[in-house]
Amino acid sequence: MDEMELLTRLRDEVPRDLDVRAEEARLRSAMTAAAGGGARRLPRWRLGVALVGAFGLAAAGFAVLRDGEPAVKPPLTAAAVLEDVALVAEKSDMPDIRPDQWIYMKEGQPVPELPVYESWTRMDGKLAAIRKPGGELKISEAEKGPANPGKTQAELERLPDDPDRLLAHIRTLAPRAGSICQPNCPPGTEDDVNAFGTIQWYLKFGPIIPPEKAAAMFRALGRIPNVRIEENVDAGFGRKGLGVVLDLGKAGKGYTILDPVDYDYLGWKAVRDGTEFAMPVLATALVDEAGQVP
Amino acid sequence: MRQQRSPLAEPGTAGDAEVIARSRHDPEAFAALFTRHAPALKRYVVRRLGVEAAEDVVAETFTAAFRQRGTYDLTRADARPWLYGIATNLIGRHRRSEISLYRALSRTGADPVVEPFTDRVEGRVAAAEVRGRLAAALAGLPAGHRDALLLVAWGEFSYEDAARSLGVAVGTVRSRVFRARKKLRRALGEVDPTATSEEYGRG
Repeated sequence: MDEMELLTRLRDEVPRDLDVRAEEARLRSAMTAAAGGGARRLPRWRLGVALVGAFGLAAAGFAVLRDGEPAVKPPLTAAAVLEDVALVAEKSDMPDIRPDQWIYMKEGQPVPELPVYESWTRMDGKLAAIRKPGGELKISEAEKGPANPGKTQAELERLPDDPDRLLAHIRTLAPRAGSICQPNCPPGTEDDVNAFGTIQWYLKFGPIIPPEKAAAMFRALGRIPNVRIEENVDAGFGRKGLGVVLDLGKAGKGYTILDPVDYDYLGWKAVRDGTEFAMPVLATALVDEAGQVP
Repeated sequence: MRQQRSPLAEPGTAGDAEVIARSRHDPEAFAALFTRHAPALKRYVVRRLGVEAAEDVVAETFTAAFRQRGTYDLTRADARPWLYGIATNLIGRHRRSEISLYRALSRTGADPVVEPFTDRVEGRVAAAEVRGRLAAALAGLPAGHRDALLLVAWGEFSYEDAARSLGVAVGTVRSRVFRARKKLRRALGEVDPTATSEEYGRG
């Protein structure tokens, strides 16, 4: 018997069927709060209200139409293309964000049988809403986790404008994006993979990204080794996009997919061992009420 | 100390990632993850910290996981590395207590962690000697080495999953476990584990 077997037997007397009711009760109260105990519901009549000018903002972060021209033409070097994207982002206009506005997101799900996911979070970080599968809008207190857009907005505003400094800063953050090759990334690429994923994660918040930060993020992507451009990437829901690809060969490929015309963020996917995994983003917008859509 | 049938949810057959994705629409769906993983996680934490501290760590792990579910890496069907990673961070806050429990076992031969679960507190002398030496060695390991070793030994994690859990490279886990095992072997060196193996664990 070696030391591992001896260690495996240490404290093996602890039973497998421990009582977990107390823990369950504590989780349950957290879940009940999130599920909106006492949730405020918007009056039904508001749900269908068309949004006024709402979606002038659709592209506000970094989306300026380019007179119908194809966005990019070969040869496509990542740095050149992303510089182009950054210039567009930089020139875009972003109105002030009011704390009583909501960020709307419509996303595909990684599991095909799940419905498209629509959510609204108020920019003060206090309330959130989702569209339940039956169509009902449910408003509740926003969760305080790291995905709260109120926190995200503050983080975005603190990002450096300089792409090199931004990249250095992003590398210090805990990973929060879908994985590409983790934990079997080629040695030395781990920080690049985390940085690529984190920038991608922020890009989902298009409408609340200050233009200079969006520009810095695109330029930073262009400085990550092994990033290249791929055209006509399948972005799900019948869409084709411009793929900013972190290509790690056999270890995997991560795609940040942009609209080929206005560079809106269309989602991401990872391809590994012949398996593809995608999280399409169908819309993001800043709106005035929960339930409003662009 | 018998586990009751969970009133929250039936264990599903869907992968953890699907449960987490579903819980974005329906927060209560997250209960399936608890039902699936809480008993084993609790056993793991009890083995490290004893039953009293374990309740807080397990409750906080699932509450934190629930709050962080929006950032879960949905490419990972198995949520164990994520959950145990959160738990490992929380266990780290009890490091002094964890070490003092190993030291108590090493010093007295009686293990406060298993006392609530066993009628006999004293095992055979030789087996108690092995346990004491293992416990002393565990107490002396750097925290990161102990985390990696125990995820593999008690959590039954592969090196890859332990790496995901701890947010380090697989090679780092491999080297930490290798070095930790070496220290355990050295600590056991003065007794002959083979001679005691039949008695070990029956105390």
